[in-house]
Amino acid sequence: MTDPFRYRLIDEPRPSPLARIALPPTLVFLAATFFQPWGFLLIVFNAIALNGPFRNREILLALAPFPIYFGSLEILDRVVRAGTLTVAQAHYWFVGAIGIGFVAAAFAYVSQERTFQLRRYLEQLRGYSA
Amino acid sequence: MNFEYRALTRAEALMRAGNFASAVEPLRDVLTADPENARAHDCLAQCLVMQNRLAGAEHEARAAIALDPLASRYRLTLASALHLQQHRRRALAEVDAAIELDPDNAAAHLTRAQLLRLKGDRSGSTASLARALELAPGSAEVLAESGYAALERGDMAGVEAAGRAVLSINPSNADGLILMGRLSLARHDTDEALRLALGALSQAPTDVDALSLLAATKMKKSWLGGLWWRWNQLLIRLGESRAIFLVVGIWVIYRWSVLASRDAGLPEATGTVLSVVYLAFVVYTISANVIVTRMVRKEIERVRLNPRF
Repeated sequence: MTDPFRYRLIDEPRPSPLARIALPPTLVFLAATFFQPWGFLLIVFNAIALNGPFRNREILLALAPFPIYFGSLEILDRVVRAGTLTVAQAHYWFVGAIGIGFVAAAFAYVSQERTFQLRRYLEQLRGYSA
Repeated sequence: MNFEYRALTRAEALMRAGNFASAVEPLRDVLTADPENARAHDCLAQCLVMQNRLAGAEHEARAAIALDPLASRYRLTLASALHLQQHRRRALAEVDAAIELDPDNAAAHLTRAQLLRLKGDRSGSTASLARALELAPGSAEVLAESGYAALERGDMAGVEAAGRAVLSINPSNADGLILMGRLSLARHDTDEALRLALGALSQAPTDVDALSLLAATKMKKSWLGGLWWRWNQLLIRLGESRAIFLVVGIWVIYRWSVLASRDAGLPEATGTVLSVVYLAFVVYTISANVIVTRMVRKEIERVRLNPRF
């Protein structure tokens, strides 16, 4: 599988020096939901470590919650100052905005989980053939 | 050329035996030597479909079609990969293209019947199934599909008739055993359903319907497990994107409920109770997944240890 001249399947993760320290994506996603917004950086790190076929898309999806988080904070702050919304109402809007960020991160998580399972499966196969 | 031919023949023999995982390496050998071998690309796509590696399967099936656009079989493989990725309309378009290329292809009509059934178009599915039966009257696969269609309609007499017809052709046919297992499950005979599920798995170890029957049988025995099973089936039916929106939607509703309880002046404990319920739901979902996987693996191990396997 590591032979560069062998036919490569498009969904197979490429070798990565960080692969050994890649974490289970479920754990990473759960951690990200508890430590917002910086926890989403863990998903970015895991995308690089797993080096799956959709790595760049995963990185972009995991970074998407940041502008949503800080952007919504800024916008809601202005809206509350202008008196359009009360602080209590702004809280509901903020939760909705974080939900949108979660959707993006969840897509990254699903993609990483697929790569993680495939990497584990391929390692098992290599273990059997060795 | 001789080496490629032997590797391809070996891979196809492994595929016929249901050993799709082992067929991948010989196919990779063929494609390393000759990347323009359409048949090898198609076989590889079929193996990847069976392993649920759908992005890879789609890529390989498209490569096969690009090399030989007139082969209807390759379009059916692509349709399977697209369908399993929830791209039902595109999958149906590929099946229609396959039928246009080869109007008497029973497998294409059968696939069309399956896709239309899953789309909820019963009349279209029945018409395609009738055409498939016309082209291949004694085919166990076509009869099995009529059984699955009856199962979806809740017509248990139809399921039994189809199951028995399939088993009369081949008493160890996995689809026939699965249909009879589904029937036993509907009649609350979980022991018989379990026996049939294990029988089907010993014939087709990678069959998703057999694994699904096995898990459903195990889940029927426990209330909590059954609840998780239904929740999981709902997520699968919704597909990846909708399932993500549903799960995130539940989180948003939970957070809004906590805020609403605070704004309504309810005691602090209300928010705590809501958080505990939400956390219990998360823990239950994750742990049930682990427990079900272990239970299914344990049963599969029983199949593998059976000397007749």
